[in-house]
Amino acid sequence: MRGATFYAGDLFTGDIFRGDVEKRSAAPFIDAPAGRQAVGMAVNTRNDLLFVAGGFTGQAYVYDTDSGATVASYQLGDPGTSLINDVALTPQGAWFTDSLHARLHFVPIDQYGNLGPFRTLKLSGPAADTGDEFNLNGIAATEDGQTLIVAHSGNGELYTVNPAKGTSAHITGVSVPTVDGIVLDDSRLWAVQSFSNQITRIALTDDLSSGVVKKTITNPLFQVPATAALFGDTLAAVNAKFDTGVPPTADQYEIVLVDA
Amino acid sequence: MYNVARSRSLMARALWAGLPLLLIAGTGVFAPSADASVTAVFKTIVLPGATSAEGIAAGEGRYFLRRGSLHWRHLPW
Repeated sequence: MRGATFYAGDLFTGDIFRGDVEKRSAAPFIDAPAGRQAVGMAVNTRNDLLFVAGGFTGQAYVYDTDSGATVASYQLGDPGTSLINDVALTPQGAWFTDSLHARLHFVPIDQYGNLGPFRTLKLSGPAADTGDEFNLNGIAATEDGQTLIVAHSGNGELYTVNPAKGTSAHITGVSVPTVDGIVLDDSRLWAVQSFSNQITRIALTDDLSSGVVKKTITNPLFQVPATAALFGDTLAAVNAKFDTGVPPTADQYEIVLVDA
Repeated sequence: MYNVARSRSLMARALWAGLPLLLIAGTGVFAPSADASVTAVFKTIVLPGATSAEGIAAGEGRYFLRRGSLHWRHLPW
């Protein structure tokens, strides 16, 4: 398929939209069953699967991007006391953050798209800090899946996580208050800072131990952007509009396109 | 007899006379719009009927232009 397809979610209904960045269009795609939520998401294009973090339901969902059908759902944590916030894909599977617990959840997937039972990875080190109202949020993975990067909203910091051991380390040199979602492209990382209404582009060292801020992206159209997706030199950021309340009360929700 | 020189001269004068009109028309087409709503339409994609929003993911068709050259971003997953 040609184009630049994106998927976006309605947080409190769980519905999924599908659109095209080049055509500047979007339309409802999945009418999720009642009770679902849609927070962070990621697409496995090889097997046409959309992984969605289910927020306060404690769940995660896997949808077929051809039919929109639910392929699988997982109860990763207790509803109400878990916040499944974001997801990153690796060649081995999908990693989910839980903003209320010092843990990550992993759903394995083989090369044919077969899903396995999930397991939970207990974290140690700075990523295990759950002292704030919202803790781990955005997550990204290196292309080989051997290192994860997580964003801690309360601390305004980024950490690397060893997915085999659960150990973590602070990425020094950068401070990203109110960080929400993150986007990783080789050594470039974009940190979406929701209530700061900005996105910070960071150049990471090869060993991912530190970073340097290269660009601060602001735009008058930003209204508490939650996360973003990268399309070439364009970032597509979602306005969550939490400044209107939680749940938000805005009349309209949109994607904002900015230079990366 | 067809006068090439005169024809070119007339054409040049006609083009010169029309140049201001072309410039005015060009300003309307290419100049940045002062209407913020027009800019907003171009820079945003509305999620029709959404009551809230949070996540986004890049999907199929990851063809894109990057700094003037065509890249095919093939991810293993």
